[in-house]
Amino acid sequence: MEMKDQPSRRDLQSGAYGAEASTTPSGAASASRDIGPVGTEWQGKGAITATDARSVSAERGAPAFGLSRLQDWSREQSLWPVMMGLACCAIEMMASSASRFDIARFGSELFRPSPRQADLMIVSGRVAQKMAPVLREIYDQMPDPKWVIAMGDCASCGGVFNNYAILQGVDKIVPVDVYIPGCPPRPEALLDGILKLKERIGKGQV
Amino acid sequence: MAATAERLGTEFPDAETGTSADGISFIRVAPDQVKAALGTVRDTLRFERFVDLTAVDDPLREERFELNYLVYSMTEHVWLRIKARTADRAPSVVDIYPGANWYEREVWDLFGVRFEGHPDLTRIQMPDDWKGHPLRRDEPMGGEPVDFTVTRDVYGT
Repeated sequence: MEMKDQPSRRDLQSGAYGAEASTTPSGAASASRDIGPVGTEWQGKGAITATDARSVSAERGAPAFGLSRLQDWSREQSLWPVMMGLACCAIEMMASSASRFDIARFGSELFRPSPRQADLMIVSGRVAQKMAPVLREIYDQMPDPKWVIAMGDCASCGGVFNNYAILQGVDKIVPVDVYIPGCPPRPEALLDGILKLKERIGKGQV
Repeated sequence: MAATAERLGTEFPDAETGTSADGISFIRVAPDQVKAALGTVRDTLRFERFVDLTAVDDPLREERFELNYLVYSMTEHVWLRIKARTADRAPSVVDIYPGANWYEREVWDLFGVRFEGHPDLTRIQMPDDWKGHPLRRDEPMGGEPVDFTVTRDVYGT
């Protein structure tokens, strides 16, 4: 298949966007940390120490704090997603936040209209080439630490839209922590993805 | 319906008329007659509403793009389609139907038909720095090659 020369896509992958256009480096920082079960372990072990001065997102340039186990635990409890629906997956995302599935059980019910107040970006749908810089700007506006869930096939790899218009996977422009398959995924799948992400955050793995 | 086509047939004797598969009458005029035809149907035949403008690409034809102007008469409850074949350019009808503005930008963006006299003929759907017009039939599909067993013959992977 002959590839089309697309300047805009090339710009996205090189230049300013190139630095973070890979998945999150999770191994290097977390390998040396010994963190037990979340919510119990840190209490008895004097976890509030300045020596463990390594933020979960120090790789991303955030200032490093102590108290990292407490941080991990607290960050895990309330992942606030940015209010951004892109396509049909957004309908399932809305269903997840409604009463039947009730995303509030896991602390993520506050969809923030401002990315400045959000921790989590749920890329819920296909990202057009024209939308890609917008999505990246929203991601850049979110304060560290921040996480990304690629919800559905389109956000993960382009899905059925293998053509000129759709970004072939949102991990080309933002680092993705959790991929959720499905077209669209059911709300249970989204909740499972959020729980997986919460588990990893609590363990300091992302 | 028939009266509309008859009336237009007298005004544009060279034009080809007929009925599309969806039951809507059409008249095919030369590109430089599009403005006159649309002005006539708006002012004297009461087709108040401009509904759609799109194009069909047939690269085997000399005048490869067939523009389709769809208008609707809210007085008579009648649809009408005006067609025009062109190689690469057509007059803008924004001064007749202001609603054609974004449609002409879209056809320019995706097919590369240049509308002369348009107030702001820029891309509307693709990124501003996009090269090419993706809905042309000779434009590459784009995307990424996928290695499915059923597509190996297609992509040579």
